[in-house]
Amino acid sequence: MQNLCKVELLYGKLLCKTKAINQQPVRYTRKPRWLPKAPTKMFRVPVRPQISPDENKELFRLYTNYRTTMKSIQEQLEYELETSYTGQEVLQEIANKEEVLWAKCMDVNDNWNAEVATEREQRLAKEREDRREEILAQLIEKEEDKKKKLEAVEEIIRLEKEKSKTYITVENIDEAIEKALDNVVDHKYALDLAGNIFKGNDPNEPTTGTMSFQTLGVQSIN
Amino acid sequence: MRAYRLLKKLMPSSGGGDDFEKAKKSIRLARYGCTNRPFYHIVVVLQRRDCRAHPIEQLGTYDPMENHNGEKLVSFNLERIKYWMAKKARVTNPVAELLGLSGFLPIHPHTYMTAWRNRQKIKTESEQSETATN
Repeated sequence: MQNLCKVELLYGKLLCKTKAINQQPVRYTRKPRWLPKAPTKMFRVPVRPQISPDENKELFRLYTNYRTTMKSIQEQLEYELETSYTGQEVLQEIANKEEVLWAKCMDVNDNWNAEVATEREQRLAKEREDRREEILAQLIEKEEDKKKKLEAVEEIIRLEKEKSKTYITVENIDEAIEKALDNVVDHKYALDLAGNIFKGNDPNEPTTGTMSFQTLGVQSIN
Repeated sequence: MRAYRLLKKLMPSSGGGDDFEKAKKSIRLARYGCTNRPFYHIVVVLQRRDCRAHPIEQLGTYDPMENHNGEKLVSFNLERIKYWMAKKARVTNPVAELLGLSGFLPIHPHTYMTAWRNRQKIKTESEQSETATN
């Protein structure tokens, strides 16, 4: 027993670090179940209460009445609690409250929507303006591009027209043939590194003098 | 009797104890006085817990000692008592007696019994005194 006490005390001291704050010593407790009956009470016979039949009858009547009334009270209280949650009036009140809250919410929402709508309109107008300007700029750019292209094409046409003066057609084909026959160009010649042209079959007799490569190039193309 | 000290955790007596939805609860007196000076709290506790367990809620107080005006003072939180009774908390006999005397419930048969026994006792005592004087 004493050992048990010691162990309990020891663990109590070890485990409770905040003893002063949330723990309270209990000095006297009941006798443990495993201890035997006290020697002084060993042969004591407890006196049974003497209840007369009349009293017993009366008590029986009172208790039965009491129990029935208590049952009905209990049921009434349960019903009241239930109706406090799910009664018609309570539900109506809750519904009304919710409706009011809903209206309030809708009001706030509408205001907010209006605010956002004005903001959005402003933004959209600005965006539209920007877009218009952008499109205008693009149109102008496109027109300029078109103009440039047209000019380029016209230039090409002009050049072609200039060139077309020297074209050989059905009308002046005889002239051209005669001209060609008159000025025969002999392309059968050789070149050396210095640009000398050697015509004919004898390499020792240069027909013409030295020529620059550029002029040569032009000659060969023509 | 053991002579060593047990250490008990100190809990707020005003409530906040364990409350399980389906567990049985009882409305009972919890003794919060000291030696030779009883004072009771009326509390809701889980029924299987001991009398000094951490209560779910305190529903009132009861001072069984008469004050200088010869009154025993009781206080109830009737709304919460109604609530807990509707939740099928068992009301113990002493609390039921107090509630009966306060007029909230019908008077408990035990009250009637003690009353008529006291009356009987007074009657017999007076008779005995009369016979003694005679």
